[in-house]
Amino acid sequence: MTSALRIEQRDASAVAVIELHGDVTGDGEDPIAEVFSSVTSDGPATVLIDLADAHYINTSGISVLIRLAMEAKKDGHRLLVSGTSPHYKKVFDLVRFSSFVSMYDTEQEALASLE
Amino acid sequence: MVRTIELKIPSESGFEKVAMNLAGDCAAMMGMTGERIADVKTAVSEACINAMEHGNLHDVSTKIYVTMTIDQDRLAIDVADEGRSGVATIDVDAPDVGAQIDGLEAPGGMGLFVIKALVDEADFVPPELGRGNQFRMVIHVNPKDPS
Repeated sequence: MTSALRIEQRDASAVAVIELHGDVTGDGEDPIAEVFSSVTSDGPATVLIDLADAHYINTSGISVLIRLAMEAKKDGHRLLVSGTSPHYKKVFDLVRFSSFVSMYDTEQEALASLE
Repeated sequence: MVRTIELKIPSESGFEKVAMNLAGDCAAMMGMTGERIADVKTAVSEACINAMEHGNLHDVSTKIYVTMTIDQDRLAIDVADEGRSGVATIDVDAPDVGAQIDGLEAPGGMGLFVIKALVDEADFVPPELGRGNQFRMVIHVNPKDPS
């Protein structure tokens, strides 16, 4: 099956924003890790994963985000997540991902938290 | 009147969405609300992924058998695999995401835990195929009283 994930990366207020569109699943692990690595290769960075347009997230996709959090912690980067729907926020809360990674309803709220 | 819908999907990542969306349509037809439908869809998706990964070991020659049974306000969804990995169990510990982020545990192990939290009943039942694992989830239109 073709992955229904599209990744876009841009910079906003000294934060690297990685937008994940479509399906966030285990199939997206390599391309997501590649983009994450490229935005963190120049030293400590703040990275915001925006899920506002992620229509389908499964626990394999959450595992991909856990691996990013692991890489971020190991290398001194800061990882934030924004844009989860109320349903997926509930799932992130259930597995306690949100206890370890700061999550915000919107990108604006995430950026404001850094000011 | 009991109504039954049967579906057979390949053990290939992505096809769980076919079962997920069909289950969502059944839930909507039964009158479930938006968040309840989302719970059903996520539970079915995770059950199919478990069957693909753990039951059929990603063998694309195997199938996942999904049966949805509508009985008044009760939706039962059975997800059966071909049992390439032996007998599964419903007993799962809560995932330790902190340990996973610290690199002390491999990321994962969340699927069954999430399913159990989202549906009214979840358990493995004797397989009607005569082999493999059959996982049954039951969801009522209105969530059961936790008391």
